[in-house]
Amino acid sequence: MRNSFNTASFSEVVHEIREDASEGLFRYVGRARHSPLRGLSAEVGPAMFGRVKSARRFTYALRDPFTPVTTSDTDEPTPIDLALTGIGSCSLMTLVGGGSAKGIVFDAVSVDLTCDHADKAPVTLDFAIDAEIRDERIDELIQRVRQRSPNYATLVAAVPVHWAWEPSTAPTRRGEPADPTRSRRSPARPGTRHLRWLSGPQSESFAHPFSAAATALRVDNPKQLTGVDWGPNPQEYLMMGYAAEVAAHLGAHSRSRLGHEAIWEVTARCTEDVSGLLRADPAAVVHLQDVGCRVSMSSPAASHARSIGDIEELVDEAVSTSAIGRLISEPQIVDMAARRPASSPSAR
Amino acid sequence: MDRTAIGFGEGHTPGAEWFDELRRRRIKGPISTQNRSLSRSLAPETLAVHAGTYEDPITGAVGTPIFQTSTFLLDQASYDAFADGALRDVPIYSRYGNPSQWSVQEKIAALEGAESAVATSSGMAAIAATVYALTNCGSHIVSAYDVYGGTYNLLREDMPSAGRDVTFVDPLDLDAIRAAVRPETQLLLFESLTNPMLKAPDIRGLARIAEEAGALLVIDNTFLTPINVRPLDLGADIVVHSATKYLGGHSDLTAGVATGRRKFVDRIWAQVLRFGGTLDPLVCFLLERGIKTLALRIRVQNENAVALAGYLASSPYVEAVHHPALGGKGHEALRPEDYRGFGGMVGFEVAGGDERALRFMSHLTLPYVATSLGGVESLVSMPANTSHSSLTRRQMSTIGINPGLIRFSVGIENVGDLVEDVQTALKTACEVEDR
Ligand SMILES: Cc1ncc(COP(=O)(O)O)c(C=O)c1O
Repeated sequence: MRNSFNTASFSEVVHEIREDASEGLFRYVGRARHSPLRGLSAEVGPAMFGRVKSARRFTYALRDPFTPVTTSDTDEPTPIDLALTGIGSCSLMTLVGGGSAKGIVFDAVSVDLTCDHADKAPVTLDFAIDAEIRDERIDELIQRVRQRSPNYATLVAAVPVHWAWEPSTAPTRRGEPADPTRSRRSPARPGTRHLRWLSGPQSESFAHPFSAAATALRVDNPKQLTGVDWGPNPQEYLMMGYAAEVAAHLGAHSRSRLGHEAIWEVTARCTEDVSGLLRADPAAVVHLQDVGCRVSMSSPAASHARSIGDIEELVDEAVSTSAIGRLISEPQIVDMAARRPASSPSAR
Repeated sequence: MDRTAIGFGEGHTPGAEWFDELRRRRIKGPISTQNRSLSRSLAPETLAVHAGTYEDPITGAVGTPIFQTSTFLLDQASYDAFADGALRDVPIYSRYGNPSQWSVQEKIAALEGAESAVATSSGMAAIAATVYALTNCGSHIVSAYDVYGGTYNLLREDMPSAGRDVTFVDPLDLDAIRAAVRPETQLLLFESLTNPMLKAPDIRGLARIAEEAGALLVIDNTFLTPINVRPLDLGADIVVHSATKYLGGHSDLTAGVATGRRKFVDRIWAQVLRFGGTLDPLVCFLLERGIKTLALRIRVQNENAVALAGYLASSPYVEAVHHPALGGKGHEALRPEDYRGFGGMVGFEVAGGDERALRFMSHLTLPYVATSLGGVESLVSMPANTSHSSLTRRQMSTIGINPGLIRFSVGIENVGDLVEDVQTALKTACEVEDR
C-alpha cells in the first residue's frame, strides 16, 4: 500500500460506480447544538456511501465565536477551524490519494490555510510537499487538487445553500438565504490552520504550525471507505463547521431578538458525487451538492413571545450571514501554492 | 499456471495517472484458475460435490489437496499485492489466504449463491468478525432476544464497550423490528431458524426493513443450510454459519463462514485476519469433504425430523412439539415456497417437566446426550441446563422454554429405529419410573 493508501480499494470503487452511479453518491451530515447552559457543540451524523451506512460517533465541544475568548479555553476549535480542517484535509487526501494512484511516494505533506473573511481577500492554501519527484509533477498535483478536490471545488464555485426550519407545530419552512450582499457580515474571526498528512487518508489539523503539541483535530475516512474511523472525514468537518456557525449565531441572538433563550439544533447535509474526485465519470460534478441545513428550536419558555415570522427571520439571518455558508455559496478567490520543505533532498 | 486469484494480474496498473485509470475491480472469489468455478444456477447437489475443487495440474488429484503450509514463496505478484493493498488475491501467508481456504470458500459461496466467502476458525469467529467489520463505533444493531447464546453474549457483553448499541426484539415481530430502527442502525442480525423454538422469521420482510433503514441484513443460516433456504436470494446481505454443524456434518470439526457480496466479505476477511480467526488448511479439507454430502444428509435429516415431529405430536407423553412443518404459533407467516425443508431440529416438551426430560434422555439408546447439532448422529440436550442455563425461569418462559423442553438434532439414522428408541425412552421415563 503506497503511502498506506489502499489504491486497490479506490480502484474497486471506481469500477463499482461505473456500473451503478448511485453507489458514488455519498451523503454527509454534520449536527450542531447551542444551548444556553452547555454552549456550542458539534457531531457527525450517519453518512451514506452509496447504499452503505457509516454511523460513527465524533462529538466536539466548540469555542463559541460570539463569546469573548478567555485564556483557558483557546484550545477548543471554533466552527471556522472545523471548516478549514475540512477544506485542508480534502485537498491533502486528493493530493496524496491521487499521487498514490500515480505511484508517487510521499515522505511528508502539509498545508497551511488562512481565511480572513474580508471582502475579496483570498483564501490561501500553502502546501509543503516532500517527495522524490520533479517540480512539474508537483505542479500537476496542485492542478489536480484544483480540479478534483470536492471541498476545494465547493470553495471556488457558487453552490446553492438551502435551509429549512422545523417548528414542532407548523409545517417545515424552506428557503434560500437572503441576498448575501444585503445581509450583515458575520463576526467570525479570521481562521488559520496547519494540517499535516499522516498516512493513507489520515491527517491532523492544528491551530498553527507551532502548536503540534496541542490537541489536534483528527481526520480520516470511515472504514467503509478504506479509513479506520480515526476521525470525521473532510466533508463532515465542513458540515459540522457550517452547522455550528449557524447554531452559534442563533444562540447569540435568541434573547435579544426573540425575548427568550433557546436550545438550537442545526443539521447540515450535503451530497458528494465521488465520481468527480475519482474522475470515474468525467462529466460528474466535483463540488458538493444539495447543501442545506435544517434548524429546530426548543425553548424552556412555555409560550414563545414572538411570532414564527421573527424566528424565521432570525434563522434566515443566521444562515445568510454565516461566513462558512458564504465560503460554500459564493465563489472564493483562492491562492494555492506549493513548495518543498528546505530539508527535502529532492529540493537540492 | 497462475497461483494468484483470477483478475489479480489484470488489475495491476503501473502507469495510471489518476484513480479512473486504475483497473482493479472486485470479482467473485478469490479463486485461481485451478479452482473449479461452476455456474451458480447448477443444482445444490452438484455444487456441493464439485464447486471450488482445486484441480491440481501436476498430479491430477481428484479432490483438493491439503495445503498444509503457513507461508508461500514471495514473487513479483506478492510484491504487487503489497504495493496495491490487494493482499487477499495472492497466497502469501495462511492467515491471509491459502488454497485450501479458497477451495472450501468457493464451494460455500456457490451453494449460498454468493460472490465470495471467508472461512473462519468457528461460527463465533465468523459472527464476531462480521459484526465488527460491518458496524462502526457509534452505530446500532437490531437482533433477536433468542439468538444463539454465543451471539447473544457477543452482542450483550462486547458491544457496549465497543460503542455499538444493541436492541433485542422478537424475530417474528416485524413491527417491533421496524420500531427499533434508528438513524444510526447499521445491522440487522437474525437466524433463519431459531434455537430452540425453531421460529422462522420472514427473511423477505427483514430485508425490506433493512433496505428502508440503509442497514445490512445478516442471516445466520446454520440451522437451515443453503440446501433448505438461500437468504441472499430473499434479500439478505450476508449469510453466516457455524460450519461446525450441518456444513461439516460429522461433529468432527469447528469452523465458520461468512458469505455475500465481495464488497462486504473483503471487509469481514480483513477483520478475520486481524482477530486471527483463520481456518487451518486441514480443517478446510475436512469441511470441504463434509459439504460434498450436504445435500444428501440434509434431505434425510429434513425427512427424519418431520417424521419424528409427527410421532411426538401424537405421543401422550409430550406436551408440545416445535417444528415448522407442524405449523402453529410462530409459523403463521411462513412462506413454504421459500424453503426446501426445515432441517433436522425438533423441539419438544416432555410432559412432567425437566426431571422427566432428564430421565427420558438417560433412557435413549441411540442418540447421544450432547450439545451441538447438525451431525450425522442424533444428539439430544436440554436448553434449560445448557445453552440457556443463565436465564431465569421467567426469562426462559418469555422465549418459550417451558419445563421439559428437549432439543433433538436428528441424524441420518433409520427414522424407524429413532422413533422406536424415543417411544421406549418416553414410556420408561413417564410411566414405568413414575409408578
Ligand atoms: C445458530 C448458531 N450460530 C452460531 C453458533 C456458533 O458456532 P461455533 O460453535 O462454531 O462457534 C452456533 C453454535 O452452536 C449456533 O447454533
